[in-house]
Amino acid sequence: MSSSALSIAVSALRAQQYVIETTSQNVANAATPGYRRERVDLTEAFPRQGALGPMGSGVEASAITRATDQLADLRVRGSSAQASYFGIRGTIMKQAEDIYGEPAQGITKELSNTWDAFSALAVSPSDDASRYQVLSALNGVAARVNQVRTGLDQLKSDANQQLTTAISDANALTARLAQINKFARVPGGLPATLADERDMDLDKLASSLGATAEVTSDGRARVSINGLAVVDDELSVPLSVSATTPGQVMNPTGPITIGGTAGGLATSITTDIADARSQLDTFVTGLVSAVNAAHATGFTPAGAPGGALLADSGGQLTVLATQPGDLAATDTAGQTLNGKVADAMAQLRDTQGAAFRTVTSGLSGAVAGIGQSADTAQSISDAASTQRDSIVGVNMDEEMANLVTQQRAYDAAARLVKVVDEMLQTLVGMTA
Amino acid sequence: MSLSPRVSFLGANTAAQLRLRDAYGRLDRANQQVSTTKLYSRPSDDASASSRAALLQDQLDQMNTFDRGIEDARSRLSVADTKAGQAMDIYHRITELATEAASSLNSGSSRQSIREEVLSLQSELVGVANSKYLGNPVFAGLGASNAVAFNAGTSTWTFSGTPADRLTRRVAPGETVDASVTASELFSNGTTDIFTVLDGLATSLANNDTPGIQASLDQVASLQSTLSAAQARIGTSVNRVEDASTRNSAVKLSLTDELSSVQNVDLSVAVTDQNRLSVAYQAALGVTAKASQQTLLDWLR
Repeated sequence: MSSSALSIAVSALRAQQYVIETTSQNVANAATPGYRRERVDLTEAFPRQGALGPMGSGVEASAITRATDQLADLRVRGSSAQASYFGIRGTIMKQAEDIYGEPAQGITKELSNTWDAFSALAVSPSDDASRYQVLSALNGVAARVNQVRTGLDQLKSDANQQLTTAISDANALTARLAQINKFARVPGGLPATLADERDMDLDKLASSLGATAEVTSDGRARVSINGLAVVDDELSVPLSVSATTPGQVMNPTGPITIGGTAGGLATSITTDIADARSQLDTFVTGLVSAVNAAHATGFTPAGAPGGALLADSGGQLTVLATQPGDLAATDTAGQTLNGKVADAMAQLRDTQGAAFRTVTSGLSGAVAGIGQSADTAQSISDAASTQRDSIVGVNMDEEMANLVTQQRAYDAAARLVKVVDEMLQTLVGMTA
Repeated sequence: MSLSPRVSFLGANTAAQLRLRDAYGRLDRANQQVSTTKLYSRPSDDASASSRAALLQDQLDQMNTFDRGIEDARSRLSVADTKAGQAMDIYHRITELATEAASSLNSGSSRQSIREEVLSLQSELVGVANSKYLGNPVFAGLGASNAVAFNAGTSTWTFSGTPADRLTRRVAPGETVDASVTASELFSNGTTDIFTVLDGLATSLANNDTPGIQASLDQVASLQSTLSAAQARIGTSVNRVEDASTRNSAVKLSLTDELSSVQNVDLSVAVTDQNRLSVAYQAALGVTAKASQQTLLDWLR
């Protein structure tokens, strides 16, 4: 009788020790990123056969379970993929906007200087100083345009570099997940620490590639991007960035579409920066033909017809006129005080200014639009992860309250041992 | 009774950080507005306002380029007006002399001395007609050669400016003003010109030809009205330039006004906002610091 009471008390002491250990583990990891709170599942021990029938034989700590919520995981990963997709695009477009430097240091300013110089030339066509002013203003436009183009190209290759790094980081993660999947085979299943790591890796993959994941009941992760598996059981599929097409991500069989940070980088490279660049190129083509057409109607001081002033080839805008005498300001050969062509060129301000404003407002509109999407996606993602935290995270007050209960339970079990001890002493004293 | 949601230790911490980040973001934006006095620091902060501001700035820049045309037209017209006035004085002097000479009381010798004076006035008039501004003839129009010259080969006077040669200056969007009159408009009425008439007058004086002198006198009177018509044209141009200048100032003022309302902050609003947000941020910091210290642990002693 008393020996079974003792063993029941001992089972309670052992079980409560597990429980208290788990509570300390929870408290210790309250601030550990990716940690999910653990609970000890207590069950009644298998009854033993007594004289009066089955009798209770104590308590057992049967298992330690991690708090999980598949739906919350799904929501966190989906929203973080969106947030990082738009976030990186927004960052890169802001850099593109900085490269333009509008309005203070931009092409607008240089263009305005040019029209101003032409209007000065219209007033004093016989003055070489105003001709030099026109040449230097035109060179200013060319230099700024070429700078912006170089800047955009640089931004594009930087983004491609960043994409390559993101893909190789992701490859390391998928390889690690395949390794972790191996551990799921061991008896007793995946240890909680590895499960925490696996879930963090899945979060990272969702954010960097827009990958979706399923976790089997024994703890193995299957990761796929748009239905194509990248981690399947113990195999991972490495991704790469195309060496020939910037911004193109490939798996061993061919190009694939991805999301997340890497997808955002790919979209920046193939769409956002490319659009900004092609809008600028269209504007430059229009500018060159308008300026050259107007200049061709004039005559130089030497009486020669005005030649082409600007040329745009191979991504470089160049000013062809080098000498003040190359500029044609008059519409009638030989009239030194005639600046009518220069005046007509100064009037290009209206059309060309509007054309360039289309470029800049298109860019700032795109930056603002992407920025807005990024803000929205970020706040949805923040909300989703706060919500998941509230399910799987550690609450100190809760743990403290649990600790009070657990301590009392332990005290009571210990007290039980003492009572059994006293009973045994009484028995021993009687027989002595 | 509904159960309030669980709050995890890490979750509460993250949420507090996010709230502080938002509050700081708002404060930072307000600080930026106060220190730069601009509503937005980059075009994408307010795409439509920045696009409008770019258009206004471009128009303002354009208005400033008209100042140059206006100044130039003003100086040129002022010189032309002065010179035309001098020419008119010479016309008056010639009319006086010719009237005196036409009187039959005058003898051949006094007509001879009048002739000398007429010839000297003629060369003075040639000087006025060929006067220069910034190194170029005022009345020659778009060309650079002298406005009036005597062609010895044909014994005729030639004028290098035609009405099509007038200098024009842009003074407002889509508006150009004549900034000069040409010698032919000043000194010729289509049938004859003042220099040829003076040649005729000199010949009549030399020949003691009273009817000839009388005829020249009539022609001078006719050319005098041509000159005064040209002066009126100069006056009209000056008026148009001044009108354009006044209008441009008004347009510039309203452009500057609108530009400022599009891109500049109302400083009193910005400063009060900044104060409010600063107080809010400090409060958020204080509350976060206090709240995150408290757990049940503090009370289980």
